[in-house]
Amino acid sequence: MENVFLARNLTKSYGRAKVLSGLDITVPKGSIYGLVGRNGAGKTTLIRLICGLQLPDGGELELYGQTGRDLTRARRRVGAVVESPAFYGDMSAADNLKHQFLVLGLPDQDRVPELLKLVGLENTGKKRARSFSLGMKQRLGIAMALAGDPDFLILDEPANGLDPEGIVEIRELILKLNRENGVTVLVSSHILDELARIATHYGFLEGGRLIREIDAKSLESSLRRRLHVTVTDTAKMAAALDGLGLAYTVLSDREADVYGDTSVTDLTLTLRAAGCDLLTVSEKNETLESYYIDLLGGERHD
Amino acid sequence: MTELLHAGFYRLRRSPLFWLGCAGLALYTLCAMAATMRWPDYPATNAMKLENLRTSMDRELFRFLLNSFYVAPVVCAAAMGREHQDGSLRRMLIAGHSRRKVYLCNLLLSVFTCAAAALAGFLPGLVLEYAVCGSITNSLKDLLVYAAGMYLTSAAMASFLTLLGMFIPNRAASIILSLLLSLALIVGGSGLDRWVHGDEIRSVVTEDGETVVAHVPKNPEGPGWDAVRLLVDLNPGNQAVDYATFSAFEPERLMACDALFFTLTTAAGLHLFRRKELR
Repeated sequence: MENVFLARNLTKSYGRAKVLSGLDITVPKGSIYGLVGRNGAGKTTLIRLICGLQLPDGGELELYGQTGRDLTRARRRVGAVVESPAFYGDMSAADNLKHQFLVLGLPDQDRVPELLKLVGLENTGKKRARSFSLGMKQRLGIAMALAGDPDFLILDEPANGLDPEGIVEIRELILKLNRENGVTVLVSSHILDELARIATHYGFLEGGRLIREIDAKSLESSLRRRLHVTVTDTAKMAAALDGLGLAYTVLSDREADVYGDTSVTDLTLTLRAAGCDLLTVSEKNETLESYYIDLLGGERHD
Repeated sequence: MTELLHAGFYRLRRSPLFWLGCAGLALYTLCAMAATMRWPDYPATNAMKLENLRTSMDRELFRFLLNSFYVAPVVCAAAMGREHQDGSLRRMLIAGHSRRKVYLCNLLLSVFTCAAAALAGFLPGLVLEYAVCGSITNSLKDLLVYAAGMYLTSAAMASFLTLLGMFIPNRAASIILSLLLSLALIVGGSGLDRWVHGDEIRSVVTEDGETVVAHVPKNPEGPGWDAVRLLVDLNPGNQAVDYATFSAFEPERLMACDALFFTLTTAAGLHLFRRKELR
């Protein structure tokens, strides 16, 4: 698969604090890549390095196959909202967009109303951007990031300050851009449920390193419904479950995890027929959040 | 670069501070010139009175330059501080413009701001003097040399302000520091200038045994002092005082100093901005 962005052994320090320590990451073309990590994990620093706002101490950055000085040219294909949206507070939304078109060297400013409509700011008129609500500012930031028709959109916490309706709109906008226009999106977010609805790939950052990179399908299979069972004999249980075609993991001679959609009644009857008693059963439905928490210090999912 | 300049001028056109600064300088010049327009009440011919009036107005022509040293820092630092605070510098880099281009664009905008402020301060005075006196005392050559010097000093100051503005992300801090340093360049510069270039009036006994009053240089000649003089002359604040008071005896030397100051500060700014961490 073609990659839009990749980094190898990327390092960055602020004084003595090492923020990125040998980060490797690959963002495939056409993906919605969710960047997950706690505060200080290095998400925003990585985004700043991609955008050229800061320079790495070591390692390699590649954007559309370009490295070194050519990265500047490759950034023409990138749109980004880094931390807070960037616009002039004393100008209107339309004037800010016109300014962004000039920065990008695009003389045709006919798309200004279209972009304003896209992010729901078409009725703001001459109102100064500084008096916008947090959500409106976020939308304006996204509109400005979209001004150059980017192939690669980077959004740092796009749901910040948005009301529930706004979150849904931004989600639909991201999905639309990705599906209809083929825009690759890199999103960092703390709202994991929201991320789980859109991301096709995930990167989990911790301590300046990528501790797991996984696509949504693999993650989904890792998040299967799991029944943790205690039985009298796991060997007999294994024989019975093989017959049913259910996946399982034997944890000890009395404990096991059973995956897949099966009812407790069916499981009990099947095991009873095989001469194995079901002593206890507990159901665990994993989410991206529990997967992430497990990854950081709970159970491993290797 | 052209894109950035278009965007920069689009922004500058909408800056009330820029227009206010230019209008303030124009108003100052007009008021200062108007204050000299009192017809002398001593007995003299009308021609002599007109000549005196013309000389007085001439002296005021470049006086605004000192005020532009307070206006330009506020306008330039406020503009660049906003670029930092509103994240516009970020947008320019993300849009794929090199750091060199972003710095040079801001430098050119600062130069334009300072030049526009200088023009706003200079032109109304010149027009008024022509309207009242019909001509100016100074030769056209002198006027052009001073005007060129004034623009070069403004450009040198713009380069200094860009160096400050591009590295101080806080808008208020940038304005205050730029203003204080501009003040220091003028006050400190003119003090140093008097110390380095000044001479003393002393009683000197001639070979004939006569005691006469003579102007004696305070400081000895020599390569060391020449270097000190060059450093003092590099200061655009010092030059502004010289132009404003019509006391620039070597305008060509001052212009060369301006060009050197501009080159040094721009080179330093470009070098430092290459690795400047933006948030």
